[in-house]
Amino acid sequence: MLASFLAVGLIHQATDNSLRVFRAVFEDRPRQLIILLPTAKKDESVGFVFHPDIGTIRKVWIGATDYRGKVYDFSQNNSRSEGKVVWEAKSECLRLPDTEQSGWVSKGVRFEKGWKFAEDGAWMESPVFRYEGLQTAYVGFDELSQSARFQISLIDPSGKVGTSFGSSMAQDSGWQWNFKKIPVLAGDWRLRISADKATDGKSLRNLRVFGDFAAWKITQGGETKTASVRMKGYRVNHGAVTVTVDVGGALVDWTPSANSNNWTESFEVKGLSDSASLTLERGLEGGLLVLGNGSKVVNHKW
Amino acid sequence: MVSVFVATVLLASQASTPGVTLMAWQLESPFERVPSLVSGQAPNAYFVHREMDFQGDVKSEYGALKSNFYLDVSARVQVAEEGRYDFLLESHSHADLRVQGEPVTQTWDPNLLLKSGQAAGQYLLARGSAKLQIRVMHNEGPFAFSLKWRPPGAKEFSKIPAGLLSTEPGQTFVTSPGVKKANLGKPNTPPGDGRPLEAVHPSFQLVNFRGKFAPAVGGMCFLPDGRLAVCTWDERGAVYLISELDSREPKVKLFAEGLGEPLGIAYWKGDLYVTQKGEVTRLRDNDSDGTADEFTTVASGWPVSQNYHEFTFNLVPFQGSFYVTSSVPLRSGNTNYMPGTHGSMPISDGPGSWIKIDPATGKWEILATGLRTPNGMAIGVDGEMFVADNQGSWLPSSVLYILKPGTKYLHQESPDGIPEPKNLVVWFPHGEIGNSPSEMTLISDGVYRGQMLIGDVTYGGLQRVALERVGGDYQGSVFRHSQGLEAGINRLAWGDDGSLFVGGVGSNGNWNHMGHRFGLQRLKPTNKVPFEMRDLSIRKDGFLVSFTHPLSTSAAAQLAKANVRQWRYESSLLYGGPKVDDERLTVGSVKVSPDRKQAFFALDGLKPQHVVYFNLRGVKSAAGADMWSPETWYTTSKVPAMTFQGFSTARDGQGFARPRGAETLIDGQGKSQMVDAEGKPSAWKRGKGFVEVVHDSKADIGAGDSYTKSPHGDAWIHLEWFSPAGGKVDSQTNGNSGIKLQSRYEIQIMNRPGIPDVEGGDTKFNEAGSIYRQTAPTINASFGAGVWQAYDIWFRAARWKDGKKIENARVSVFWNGVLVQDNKDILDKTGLSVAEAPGDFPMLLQDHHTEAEGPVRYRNVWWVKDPWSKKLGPPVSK
Repeated sequence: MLASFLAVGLIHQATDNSLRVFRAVFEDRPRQLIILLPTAKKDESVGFVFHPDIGTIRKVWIGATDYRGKVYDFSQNNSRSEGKVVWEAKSECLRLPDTEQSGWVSKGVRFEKGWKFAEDGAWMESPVFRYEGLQTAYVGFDELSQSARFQISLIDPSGKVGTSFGSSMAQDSGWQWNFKKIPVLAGDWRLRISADKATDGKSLRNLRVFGDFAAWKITQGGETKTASVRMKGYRVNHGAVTVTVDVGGALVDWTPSANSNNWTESFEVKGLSDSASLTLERGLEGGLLVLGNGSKVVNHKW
Repeated sequence: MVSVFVATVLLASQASTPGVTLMAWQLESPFERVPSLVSGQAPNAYFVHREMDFQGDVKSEYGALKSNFYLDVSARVQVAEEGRYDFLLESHSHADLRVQGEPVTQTWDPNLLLKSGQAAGQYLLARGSAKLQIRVMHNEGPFAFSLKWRPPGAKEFSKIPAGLLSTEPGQTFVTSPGVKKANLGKPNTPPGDGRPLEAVHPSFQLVNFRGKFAPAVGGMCFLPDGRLAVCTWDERGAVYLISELDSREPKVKLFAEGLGEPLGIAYWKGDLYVTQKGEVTRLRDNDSDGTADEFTTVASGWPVSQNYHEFTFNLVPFQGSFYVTSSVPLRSGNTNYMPGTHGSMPISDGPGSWIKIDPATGKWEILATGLRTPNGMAIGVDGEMFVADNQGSWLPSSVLYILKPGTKYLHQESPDGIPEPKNLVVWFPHGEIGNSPSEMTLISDGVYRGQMLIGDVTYGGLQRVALERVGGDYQGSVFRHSQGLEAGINRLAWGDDGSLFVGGVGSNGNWNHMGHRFGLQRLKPTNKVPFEMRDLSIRKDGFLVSFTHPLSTSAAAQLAKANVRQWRYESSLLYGGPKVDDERLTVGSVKVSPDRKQAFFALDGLKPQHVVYFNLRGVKSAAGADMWSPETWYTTSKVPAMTFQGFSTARDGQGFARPRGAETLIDGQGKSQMVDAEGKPSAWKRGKGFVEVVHDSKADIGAGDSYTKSPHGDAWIHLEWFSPAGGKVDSQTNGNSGIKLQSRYEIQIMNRPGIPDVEGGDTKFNEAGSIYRQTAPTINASFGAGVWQAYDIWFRAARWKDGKKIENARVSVFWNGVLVQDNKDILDKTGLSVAEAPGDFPMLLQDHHTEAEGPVRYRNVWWVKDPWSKKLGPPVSK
């Protein structure tokens, strides 16, 4: 799969004219730092999505960017990557498939263009899932029809409701997004969606529970815990960008680059106490990355 | 022409959504053809419909529109084949069709009718997308319209397939209730009377200077070297620095890009800072190549989600902190918290917040909540911080608030209960005087000093706000000021020559002015003052109205015919809200002041928490001029107990006119004759048109007091001074300086007055207008912090005999032309001054520690020694 991409050949060094670094709401997350390193191909980049809240990247892709949002196309959508996803951090804890509902139970719901709630009081309920490792958690879905409201609830095995909300209504006639931040709750949960009224073709699609998992841990005195993370900023020099993050009180400089063989992360850690180490766990090939003070270069093969 | 950078970012292709956009305005009366709407009015109904046909009542949040409404239907149609297309417009209402902006047919033209209710026309369409627009005036009866077409080669008219119709996606459906205004042909009132102005205020000249540089302005500020920094709310997210603003070809240089929706910018302590969505960022150019290479996150973490409407607005540095605001999430115009739901960020105190940031640590705190779209915040009247919020759920109309920590403003997340207005200063009645108010700015000089100008993104132009304090709280009126600008106004910045730079922005739907999405223009001062109301002051029994020029001798009769109304608003979950309890107020009588520059309107039944509307149509000045705008809207948060007590001198920030023979001490260009304690030229700093105190507040070391070269005895001293906002209350650090007569009797200069209110309040003998620590002023004549003000001081020196004081020194102080110390005895030296002694001594201007946002400034300081002997005594004195 990657061969066709490699055939075009990456340039080894980004140039001032072609590196692009920008902040945006990207794939449903605000404040994302997007770094686009050029390739030899016009309108193609190696893209990195750096997430300030977790202090590391959450996605690498090669291709283009679909710029959406008020400052791009005036829409209420947000920008997304286009092309081949090289790597993406796990973020979804639950998704309702659009064509089958394995493990889901329902009443009065059938699939047409989306999941149509065909009778009053129709409902769907997910299989048990957990999402407690997320730093922030969201429920997202699209709904159709303006005349009835979905009720969305998280229910534990005993039937106790953890959180519940109604969808919001719009004056638009097409599919409308809903996007709600939910509290991160430990344990097993099921997601239940119901509609009191089935009027006007009330339908649902693209339902998911997602968020971002903490990536950094700090080990000190034999104790390992999730590290505090604060993005300090970034510097753009000579066609390269370096992002600085405060991780547990240490400063970590992170610089991405790419060539025909690898995409590369260069780390420079300062200010970590001698007995401490940082661990970066993102589900990337190679497993855990353990860092102490000093430099480390990590190559990831395409 | 400015040099222009070509954006490297490819603008995403314009997205679309299936359907057609319908907007409907409720009118008061029928029209015999399609009228022209008075601009700036939000529709009553606004939604996306499936096809180019409709029948039945038009539904809105405020009830169905059945008769006397104007409908605008717009869409783009995808044209597969080039050729002549016939169109058939069917409606028994008055309707017309435009294709690509050109009129095609109309139902009231008998020549275009196929039969009653059917008008036909033809248009040559190219392949691609074409704009269709239908305008309908429906008077009464069942409502319906449809548009059919006959493509080239087709025999019959057919419906335009829904699949070929599209409109803008993600529109914010801004609506408001009430009856809207429209005209057939020429409006029957001049601009500014019942409809927006059409030109820039005569006190300014409009200067177009941006050339092809087309910024959607998210923020503006000046750098100390005179360059204008502009950040852009566009796909590039850039900061530009514009230099050589006075030249024919100002230079535009890209400084930074890649910022996420920057909507605030400030220069602070040597660096540029911007507000991005959810973050404040410092920009630095470390390699001195003219572009930023270091982007440091100063603060982040307040509630913000992916929602398009969760903006972070503004960036106001003040007293060592930064202030920003955040807005609530919306979906299609409705607040994203509906009954029974949580918001997308279900946090009790945000978003929709006023946020204080410590730029050193990045720590932030939410000071106040309940804001909706607070796009516009500034230090305004009296050094207070104000914010404008935009109409929508819980906000029946747009408002101006004063920001006070701990306040819960009108917008709320819960559908339960009705919020009460708190710290609400001015309502901007929707569609009448504002729709989307934005940044405001204090006017520091001239006839309107101490007032504020405020932009508007959708209504457009500038409005003027004049406030007063009643019972300790601010309230006041809004006046029309300027229109005719190239875009809706988002941001404002004063140049050091008194020019106001206005930056425009706009988006899709009806969140723009006249469809324009960027703009940057300059308003250069002309020193012309049109005839208009300057301000209003409320009394229990009416309003005292001040004018900029004397009224005509026949004005009283015309003023008595004024249209005066009052109404109130009620908050609700509805998008906007109607006027409630709208009633006409009878003008009991009108009194005109002897100088004909003030009038008192006797009105019964003034109520608190109302808007009082005045229209003084037909009133002329003594010179025969019409009013620039005869309308104003005053918000009565409180009605005072004080009744009209007769006319008093109106404030005039220039003070008294300079008599012949006066000796200049500091001129209007900043040239000073003052010396230091050793007789050397004063080390105070010369600025553009002023001299300012030099004092390092951190080290508390200054250049010392500034003295006159010669001593004085009896004297008339005129001085104009500027005390910036800031400093701690009751700390003597509020822009403190002072004039010490004979080096020993101080008349206090400070940004806070010694008496705060129209109704009095706590007087203070150590704040502005006071004989320091002896006598408080009798009236608050202050124009407030950050505004040029004038003292005219008549000083009669103490009389001595045989080394003993036999008469105290006495002083009359006119503050902005108003007598605030009337021939008062000065009992002794003031404060820590040198002891009293016989003889003449120099006058000094004080170098004092201050914690305000800059030093105190002086200009136009002159004196006349021994004025009584020259028959130049004070005009009013016991």
